[in-house]
Amino acid sequence: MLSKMFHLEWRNMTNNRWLLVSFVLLSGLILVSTLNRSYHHEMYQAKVDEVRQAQIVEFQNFLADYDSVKAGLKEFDNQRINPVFPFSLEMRLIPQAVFEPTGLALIAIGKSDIHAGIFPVRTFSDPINKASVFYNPSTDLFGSFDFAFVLVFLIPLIVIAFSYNILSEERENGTLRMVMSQPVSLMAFLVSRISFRFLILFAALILVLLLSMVIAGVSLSENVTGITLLSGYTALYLLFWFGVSLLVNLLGKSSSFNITSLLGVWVFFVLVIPTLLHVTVETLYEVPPRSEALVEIRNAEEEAMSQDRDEILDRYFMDHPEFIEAAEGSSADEQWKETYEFYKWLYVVRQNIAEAVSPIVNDYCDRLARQQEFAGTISALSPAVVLKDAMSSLAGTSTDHYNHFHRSTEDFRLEWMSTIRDKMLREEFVSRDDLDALPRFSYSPTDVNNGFGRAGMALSLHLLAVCGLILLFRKRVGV
Amino acid sequence: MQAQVGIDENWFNQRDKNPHGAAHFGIYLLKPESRLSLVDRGVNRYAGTAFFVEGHVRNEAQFRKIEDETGLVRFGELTPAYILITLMPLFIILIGFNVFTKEREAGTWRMLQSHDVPLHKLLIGKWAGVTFTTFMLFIPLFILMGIIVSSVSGFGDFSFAHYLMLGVLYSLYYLIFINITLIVSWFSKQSGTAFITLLAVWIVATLVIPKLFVSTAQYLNPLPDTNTVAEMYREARAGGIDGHIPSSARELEKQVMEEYGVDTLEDLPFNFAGYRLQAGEEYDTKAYNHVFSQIRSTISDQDALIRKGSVFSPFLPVRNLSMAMAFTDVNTHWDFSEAVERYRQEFVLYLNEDLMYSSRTGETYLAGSDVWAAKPGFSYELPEMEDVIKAQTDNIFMLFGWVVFSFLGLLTIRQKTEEV
Repeated sequence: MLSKMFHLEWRNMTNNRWLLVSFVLLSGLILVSTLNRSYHHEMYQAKVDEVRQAQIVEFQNFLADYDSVKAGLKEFDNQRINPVFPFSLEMRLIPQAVFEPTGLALIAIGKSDIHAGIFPVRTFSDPINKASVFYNPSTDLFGSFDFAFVLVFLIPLIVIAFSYNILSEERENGTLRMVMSQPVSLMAFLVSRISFRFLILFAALILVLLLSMVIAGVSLSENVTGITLLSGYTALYLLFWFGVSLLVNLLGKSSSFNITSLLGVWVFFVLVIPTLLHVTVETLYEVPPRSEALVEIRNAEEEAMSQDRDEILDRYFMDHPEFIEAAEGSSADEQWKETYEFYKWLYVVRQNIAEAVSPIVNDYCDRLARQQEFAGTISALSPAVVLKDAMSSLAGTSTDHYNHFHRSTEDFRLEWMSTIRDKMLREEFVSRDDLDALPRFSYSPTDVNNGFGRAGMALSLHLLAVCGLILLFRKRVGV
Repeated sequence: MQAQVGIDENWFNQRDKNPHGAAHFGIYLLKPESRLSLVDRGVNRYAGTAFFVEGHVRNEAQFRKIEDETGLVRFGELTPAYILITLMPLFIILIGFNVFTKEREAGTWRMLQSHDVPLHKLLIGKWAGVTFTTFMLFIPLFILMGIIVSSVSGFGDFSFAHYLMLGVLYSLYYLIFINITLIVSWFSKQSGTAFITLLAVWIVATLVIPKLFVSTAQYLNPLPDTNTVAEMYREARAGGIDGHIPSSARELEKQVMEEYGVDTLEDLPFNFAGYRLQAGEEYDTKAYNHVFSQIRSTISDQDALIRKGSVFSPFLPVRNLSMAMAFTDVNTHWDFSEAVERYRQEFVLYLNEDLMYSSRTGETYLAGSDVWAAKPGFSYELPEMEDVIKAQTDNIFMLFGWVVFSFLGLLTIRQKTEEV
């Protein structure tokens, strides 16, 4: 019986030209979207390699200069770039923060179009200003075309087109009685029809996706977990929409009613709920624009800079006597000591500024974190948002990934700065050992808590809710 | 704007310092929000809001709101423009998809034909019905919105002309969707098919085409990253005078001393440090102009390509025009950015000249509050309607093209039925 039904379904489907055309079109869109992202990813990787290569060259040049100075073969007028002077590390070996998405970067653009992936880490960067890419606001406004968009926005429409009339069609064609006369319950009939359609769509979707990954040169074996998770989410999301469709069919109305209400549900879940959630998040957890912190930050800067130099240093060394002792044992001559003196002040005053503005910055970051956490929680109300976020997480381009990246950058900046500052305060010269032990920036997308379980749970709950409603209506309708 | 007042106070109350130190301290200029941004926020979330004005460097606008946004915003932003441009066509589709199919399905079509009602009258009637319903919803909403927007405080002037223009644009856009809806309803056999087709048209026009064209534009005209821009700047700057490094300006020293007939810089009637800083500044400006014009040209290539999407989607021209009328489009952003750059040059020149003429070479000079207070003022005028229209000719042309095209489409209905 089941095999006959599947056979019939298959014939029905292959006879529906409209469905076939839309399916081919969609496969094309998936290919275009993944290949487009993969192209951008490759360009990005090439850039990363280029930057890393340039850093190696920079370091070698630095080392060569260092050896020449040590051997007395070279002298510098400008001590700021003299490799034995710690400040030259800041001037010449500018580290680069490099963001890395996962191997599945091609499935979702996430926030990678908004944030810079590679940027130089300046020892004293403005604490509230993130490094920006040169951007075109209009491309960002419309957004890019990626697989996440196809899956989240367009695939549900295919599901709807695939299933809006599974029951109403039979009634309208007058074949319902024939179906009822079979030794299968109507519910079993509908569920098997839906399951078949789900299996076909799901298999085709994953196949097209895998194919585009192979074409794009993504290693399937290295991304087994990611692909499995993605397949799981996709299955849950598809099942949710098939479930909604079955539910609407159970209402027993006409096909045209079904399609209208299903598309209404689509607009509601995919467009209306997310925008409402956004408004809710912004209203309940308001974060003032970054520019509002500017006044306080600039006041703090002026305040720190206007204090007497000697006083600033005296106060600092009172708390950090270890530097005085270290400086006393320094091999720097009088001329060098004078140079060191200025930079000591510079580092201490910059640190004072950083300390003065840190409450403002922390307050801002806390508010932002609370807002993002709340957004993450209520996003669970829309399966579309859940899936889109989960896909960004799989791609390693989610908000959480960029937050972690920016935190890693900030931690590294502090480490890098204190390395140079401490040498400066101790009036030490750069040694060969120092050069081997310089802090290195590291970031890995695997360090981020992806919230995969949460996403899976949210999607499952949506599916369960739909199943519950189906059971409820089934009883009411009596099928 | 409260924040701008605070920032200005920062500037006026700064301690006494060398004017060039003050140029490094700089000032922030915040981009004002136009009143009509309440209707259409346009690219406001995506473009920076604060420009740091300082010596040596032309900065790109900072603090883009989108950087701190959650992923939710990418689903759409609930603004009047979102409702009026993205969702309103759905309403039109909903009220109009079955105007003809319903008659056919209910069998009333034949009845009408048997009464010899001329088709064009019927068509006009149906068209008027859908149009009337659409505008009965739109016009009161638009008037109400106008009253609210004009009465909210804390924004610039309310420009009635611009608001009215927005209304006209939206109306034209609705006409396009009304016409398409009627055409599809006419050519569809069933209401269901008509609805699916219209929805497909809507999705393609509002979601797929803009994204596809954006991706193509980014593919064909990629923007340079931070490091490439830095390299571009270094190349453009190479060899010029560095205002901070006296040795880079030896030639200039000689020239100036010759011109004034003196033997030492100290004998000059002004402080040569200020002169050198200004000379260096001019190199900086030239290099930045070079870099920015390259980036801007890539961006305008991208925008031009995205505009081509208008051939396939009436959504794009109306989206762009709506932003332009609300002064929240990219052009207004760049216009403001250029005004800031012109001001930056004026600002730095003022400080360098103060150093030049208030002291002699080698002297220690600290400027005070009188100098800070007399800094050049910054003012920015939003572009005139004429300029906006001129910049938007392409989009206006495309929108009218769609209107004409859709009305022509309606005509085909008449021709076809006359054959029958």
